[in-house]
Amino acid sequence: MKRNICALVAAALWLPWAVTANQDLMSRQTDDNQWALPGKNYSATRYSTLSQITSNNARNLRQVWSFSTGALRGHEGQPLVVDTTMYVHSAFPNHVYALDLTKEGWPMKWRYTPVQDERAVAVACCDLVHRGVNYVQGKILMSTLDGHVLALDAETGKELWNVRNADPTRGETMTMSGLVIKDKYIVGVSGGEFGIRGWVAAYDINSGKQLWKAYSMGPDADIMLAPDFNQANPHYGQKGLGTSTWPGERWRNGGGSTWGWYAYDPDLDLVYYSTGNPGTWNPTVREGDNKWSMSIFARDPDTGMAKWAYQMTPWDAWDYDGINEHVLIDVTMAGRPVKALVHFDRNGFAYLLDRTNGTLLSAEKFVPTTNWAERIDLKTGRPVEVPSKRTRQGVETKDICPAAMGAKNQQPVSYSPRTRLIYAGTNNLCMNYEGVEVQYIAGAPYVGANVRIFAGPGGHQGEFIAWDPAAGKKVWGITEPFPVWTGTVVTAGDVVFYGTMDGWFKAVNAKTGAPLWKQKLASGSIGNPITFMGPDKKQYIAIYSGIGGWFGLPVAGNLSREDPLGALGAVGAAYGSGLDKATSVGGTLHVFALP
Amino acid sequence: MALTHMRRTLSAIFAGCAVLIGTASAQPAPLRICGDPDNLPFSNEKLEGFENKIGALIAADLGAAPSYAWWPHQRGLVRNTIDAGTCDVIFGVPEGLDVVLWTKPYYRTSYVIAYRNDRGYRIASLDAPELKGLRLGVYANTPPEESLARRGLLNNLSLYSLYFDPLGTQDRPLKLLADLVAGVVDAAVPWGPLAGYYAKKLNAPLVIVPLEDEPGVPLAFDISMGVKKGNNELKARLEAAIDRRQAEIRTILEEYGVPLVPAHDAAPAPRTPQAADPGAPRANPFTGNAAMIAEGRGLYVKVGCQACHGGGGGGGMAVSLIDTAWKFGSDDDTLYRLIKGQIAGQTMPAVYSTLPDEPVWQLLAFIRSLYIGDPTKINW
Repeated sequence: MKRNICALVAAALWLPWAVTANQDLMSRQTDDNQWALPGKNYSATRYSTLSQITSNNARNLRQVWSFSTGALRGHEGQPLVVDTTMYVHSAFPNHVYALDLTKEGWPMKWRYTPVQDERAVAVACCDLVHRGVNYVQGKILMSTLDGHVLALDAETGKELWNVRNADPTRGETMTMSGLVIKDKYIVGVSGGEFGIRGWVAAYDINSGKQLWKAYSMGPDADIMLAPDFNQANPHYGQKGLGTSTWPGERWRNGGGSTWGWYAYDPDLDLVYYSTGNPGTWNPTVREGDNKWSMSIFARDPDTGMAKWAYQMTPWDAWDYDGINEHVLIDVTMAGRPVKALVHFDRNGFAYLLDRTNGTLLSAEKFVPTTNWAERIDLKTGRPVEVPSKRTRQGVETKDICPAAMGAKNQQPVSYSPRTRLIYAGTNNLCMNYEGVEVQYIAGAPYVGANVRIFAGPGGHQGEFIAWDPAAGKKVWGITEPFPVWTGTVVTAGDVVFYGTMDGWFKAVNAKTGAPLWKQKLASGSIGNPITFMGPDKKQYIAIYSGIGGWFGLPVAGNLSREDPLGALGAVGAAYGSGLDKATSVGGTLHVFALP
Repeated sequence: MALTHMRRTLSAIFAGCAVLIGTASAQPAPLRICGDPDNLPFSNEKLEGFENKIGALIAADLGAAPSYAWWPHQRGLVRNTIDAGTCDVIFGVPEGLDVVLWTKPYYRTSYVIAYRNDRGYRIASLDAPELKGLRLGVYANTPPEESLARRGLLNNLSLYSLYFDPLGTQDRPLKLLADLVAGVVDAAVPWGPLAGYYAKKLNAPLVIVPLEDEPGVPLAFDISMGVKKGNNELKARLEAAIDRRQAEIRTILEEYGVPLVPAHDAAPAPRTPQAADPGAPRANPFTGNAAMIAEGRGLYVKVGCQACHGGGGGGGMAVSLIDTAWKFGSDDDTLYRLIKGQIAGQTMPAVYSTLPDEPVWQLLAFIRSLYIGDPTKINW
């Protein structure tokens, strides 16, 4: 190990910046003393080899430190720990704090608040969340709600560059963390409810210069398809579909936002992300597959060219916003090793693809109440739909499962190579959905549906599950009264952590699902837990509390109960389960350790 | 103060000049028309359009000579002509153009279905099943585009520009009719006067079917003359002339093939009031009007209000509209200005500034109907 690091350092002296940036993160992503990438590592497994905390001693965990972020809306995402500094972010106005872990009380090295265009606040669809910052080579890279991407000096908090990626006056905002690959900061955009045309773009980490920008729909040149695009699976579609699968020029407001979590395979040199729902939510006016909304993309991070794409929900009629994360794991299927990509989609299916070429290997319902489709046809890659659950304009289609919030929302899963299980927070939510006529006005909402959301069969709204990705089967689950909207982290101590909307933070035996410990937090949690080793050689676990997000918006925004359609259907769902009695607002970072 | 003083001084000078010129030339005061220099069949610099003919007729009735200030009839027209004082009356103002004071209408026309008479179609309305198999020409962002979209015909549409583009990068409005005659599109839903002119004056072999309003989509429009807000004296003189010249106006319109649509028999929906005193606070003429509330309910979803304010007004990313809390005040005038994006520091996007007054009041009538707060706090 030591020799490898020496080799890396030596290489760094000779190779250009492009490679050193990559090497900086390549070494940090495997160092489990730190949590230097949003998903822990490029494979986004959120797994750590730290093992001081085990299934035997987790019951002794104590909160050892807490920190108010100074913001009240929903706190998604996670802090970073790089060497001996922790970087904490907040919901809008997107404060960033650098905290010195070597000193008692972890005092601030600096704090930073971006200057933002307040008009962005009115065009965020579903609370004013942010999903965290990135670190590379002495810089913090981040996005802001008003669509800027910027770099800070990680030592001083001084702004190094600041450029505009998205335009809030057209309904484009940013809430994502993005991902740094080599010398590029790769980001996307939010605004699928505002008739935007989604894209991903790469920015030079040293100058902020935009290096490429690839759209989710439109002419092939805009989508940036490689000459061999989908060569392994021509039936997924190849040329010309970014316009021909839309009526007229509807692709111009086609949605396909890109605000989820990204992953990267350094060997294949491919970055993975997915695109969101097509605009508007009313399917009647956009008959066709609406490619490439609702699709997983694999692109060359240097050129931006797409090697493959797979569409999960053609002609979406349910707002099954496909942006959820991907976990890159190696599995054995039918005795054969597979470089896999696992994706828990909002549409209720857990997809397992060959990440080298996009070939679909399995797709199983991870929430069994899923009823809009019978199954996914592995040959064609297309869902076998239940016709009575396909929505259309002017008709309230009832009892569709999952709801638009998904069988799982954006909160990322974790994967333990020890148990070979995926750990996921899921939703048991169903809906009635009616498409309605809507007119596109730049900068105005372009939703076009009324949605009522309620608990699915069983009455509970969430479940924390362990899933065998190779077998495509649930192994165990813990039901929860509210949707489980936090990410998860799993460790070599065979402990998996998750949080709940009503503010419990829980440790569970990763093998058996046996509850080990729980602690009430200051507010409901929708953040992602992390673990790291302090300078004092103690293993810590950290998670944000701060209720919000789409489901939590009724509480975050203190909305009245009278309108179940309020907050795009969240009022009926959240007040139906009593979330307003369970928690209140406020962003706090909580840190736990053994005594 | 200084500005008021200067304005007064300037008016005095101009008034003096007018008197001098009037005295010196011994001519009647001209009727100063804001004309489009190049927009047949309506108007051009050679005075070949039907609005030029009607202008001459009305001027003669008033014992005045027509004089023209030329400016294209598109964005900036009112600002650069009437408001700048270069002319006094615009002919051909459709209902809804709220930046001027309307006269009573002097004709009513509509969008039309048009197709070649040798095609053998029998299309009498936009619901004709034959349309599904046809390529249809429409002007982008006009009501027919929406009507056809509602019928699932988006895929059939070829879009044309209704505006004259000074840079010449887009086709002229008559391109749609030329393409229709040439068979590039099978049928079209153009603005009636353009289609009528093509058929009547250019002898194109077209069948023309006028359309009537649909729920929520206006397809027929009253056409008035427009004068500067506050110029009630000229408005009254023009209306008297319209009354006297009704038959001759009709003859001119028919000569140009303008499809004439009868006025509604039913009592007209109350029009947006034009405040006599521009400083007076606006009041919603539709409050409590069931038909207008129903219109507003549809608009509330259609223009996106429900996405932020909740399907039933309970709020979401934006504030609730059903309780007693109003950030900037609860009166009609304040809420009108909020929707129009005219309140300093408002967080609501100023994207509805071009929404005409009528739908704004319909929306507000619907929003008022949702109120469940303290009844003693109602001030609208």
